[in-house]
Amino acid sequence: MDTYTKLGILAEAAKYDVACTSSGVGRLPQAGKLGMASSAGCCHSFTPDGRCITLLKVLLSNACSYDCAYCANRRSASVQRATFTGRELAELTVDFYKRNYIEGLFLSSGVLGTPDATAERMIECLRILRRGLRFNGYVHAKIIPGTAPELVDALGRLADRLSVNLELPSRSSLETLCPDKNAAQIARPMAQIRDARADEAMHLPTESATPAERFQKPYDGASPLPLRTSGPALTLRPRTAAGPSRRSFAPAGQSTQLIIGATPEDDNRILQLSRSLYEQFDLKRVFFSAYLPIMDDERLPACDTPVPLRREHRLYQADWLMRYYAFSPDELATPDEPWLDLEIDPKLAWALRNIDRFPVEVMEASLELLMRVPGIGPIGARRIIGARRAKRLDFDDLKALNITLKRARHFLSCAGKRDPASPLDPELVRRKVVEDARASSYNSTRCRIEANQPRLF
Amino acid sequence: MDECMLALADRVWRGLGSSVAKGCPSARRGRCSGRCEGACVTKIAYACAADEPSMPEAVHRYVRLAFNVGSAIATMTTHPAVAELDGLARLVLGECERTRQFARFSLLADGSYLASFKPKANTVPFVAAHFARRMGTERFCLVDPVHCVAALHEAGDRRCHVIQLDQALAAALAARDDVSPDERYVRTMWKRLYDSLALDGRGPDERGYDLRASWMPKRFWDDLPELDPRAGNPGAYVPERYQSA
Repeated sequence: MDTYTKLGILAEAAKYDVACTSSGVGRLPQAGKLGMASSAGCCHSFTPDGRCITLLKVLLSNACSYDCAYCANRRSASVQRATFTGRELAELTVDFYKRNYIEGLFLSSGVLGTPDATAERMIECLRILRRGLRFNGYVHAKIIPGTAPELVDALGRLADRLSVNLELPSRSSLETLCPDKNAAQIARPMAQIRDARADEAMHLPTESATPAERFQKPYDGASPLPLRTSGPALTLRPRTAAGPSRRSFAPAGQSTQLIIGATPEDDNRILQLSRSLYEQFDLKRVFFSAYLPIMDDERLPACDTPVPLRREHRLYQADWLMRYYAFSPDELATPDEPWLDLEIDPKLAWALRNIDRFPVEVMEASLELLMRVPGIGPIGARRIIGARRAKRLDFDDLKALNITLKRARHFLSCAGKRDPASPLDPELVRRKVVEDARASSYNSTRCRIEANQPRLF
Repeated sequence: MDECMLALADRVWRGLGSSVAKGCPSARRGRCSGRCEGACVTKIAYACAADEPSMPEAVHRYVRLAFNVGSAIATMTTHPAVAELDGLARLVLGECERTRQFARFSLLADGSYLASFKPKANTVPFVAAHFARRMGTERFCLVDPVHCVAALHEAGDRRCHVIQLDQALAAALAARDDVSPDERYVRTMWKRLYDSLALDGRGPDERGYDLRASWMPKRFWDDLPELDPRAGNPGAYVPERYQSA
């Protein structure tokens, strides 16, 4: 079987893994080596459904010995099997990188016999890539639960980011759908990665902050904003003093992914879970993957269930609000109302539930408060703080600052003045937003499909 | 551009740098720098790369204002002249990112790499350093046939040479098709990967809008091998490194 044929099989097998980012580590080029890593990452292409392609995402092998119910590569599935050699995959990465197709390699694999045997093959591939072909670009490696600690360590020294898939949002769902995996087995490598990174940080000198990081709060508005700001610098989460560029073990940290919509957990539970993952394991990202009904199995939703795309989108928005805007899970999906509103975004939904906190005064509000206004983000809030030092701002000034006023208008006052055409009426705001969404981007087919769907999960 | 004009422009540029640095809390040794990456002046360079017909006048208005008000320009973000210049700079920065994302290199028969990219602003001078870092070990050329600019890099060099070309030469360079025999197979593999990553049930019809087209504008599609139907067949030649059993 030549590489072209294998690539078709093994990319097809990896497509269900949604995580595809090349961000989190900036690494300068080194003499004689190919490539570098930029902390913001770079999306080189987009799939027909709009997901970013930044890494060569394939499985090393899809000849899996596990039998997870939702997985297309499970032992009992009748699919064509293939396995790359380490050399082949490393050459492919370099060929694609030099043509500016990708930023690096996302290496994952089905379980070839045992987790340890699989990890050894992955290490062999990465050694050829890093040492033989002198590749200095980005590498993401997936850890299979049950891999021996010394192999996890070896992978962490070759890769930039590691990830262990949580797969499902609760222990009982995991037991039902993945009989070969268990929650403790998944938590072990996650804890190991966290501890190894913390240990290394203790021995590293504190890095001087980059301009973008210095721009993090408290922002007094005295100096102009840099032209380019990187997303991670805007997060309100506490960060370690040791930045990624000197680290040798998983410098871009770890992430995880879980499937939503295959099992009955609600949004509040999922957001609580992701917050505890961020805190407990110092994760960089939690990825949500809307369940695609490809398997006919009585433990899973029926094959004609539509993919919960809107829910996935709302969960990502909520995740952003937690990481960049310091929202807590209970503010977004309360234990009493545990589902996110599918019609309007979670920040607007929060604002409408807390209408008594508005209007916010543009001339006085703190950064945190400005960022709670629907339509104002981390950059817009900082632009306002910078501009209000120089003059009393009115709505036209906010427009000049490129603030999206469509929604924000209802929630703001400028030097005591409100916009009379945009009252603070929750029903009106909701109706306007929903109508706008229908008129602009959501076509009628979609609305019809959703109107006829009872929400099961 | 003749040398007199260059010298004059350089003088205005330097004068402006020290003028806006006076009294600025983030200035160092009387010059823009540090905290804000000298945004007040560097953004002029980005704005100048815009194709918009309004660009020269907008830059002129901003430069006059900056000489008048000095470091206060940093906080005058709502002033029409500043907002207009910021708009142009943002537009060019966006186009620079698209150049980094969607420029596609091909391996030529002589072992060097060539990419031709048609941005809506003169982005090559800004992104040349990025590609020099990324492809330091390679000899390559990135050519923009619209603005007739090319970035040339020799293997091992730390930076590129950015040169202005005449229209005929730029077009000829962009049209070079003496690619290496490996090229067809590698392009086909990339298209195969791209095609395999598509997921059913998540497309524009189910989502309600075309997310791909908004991330990856259609004006670039013709030059992307992953969307080129001709890249569907790998042909008979398989490079040796990919012949494994």
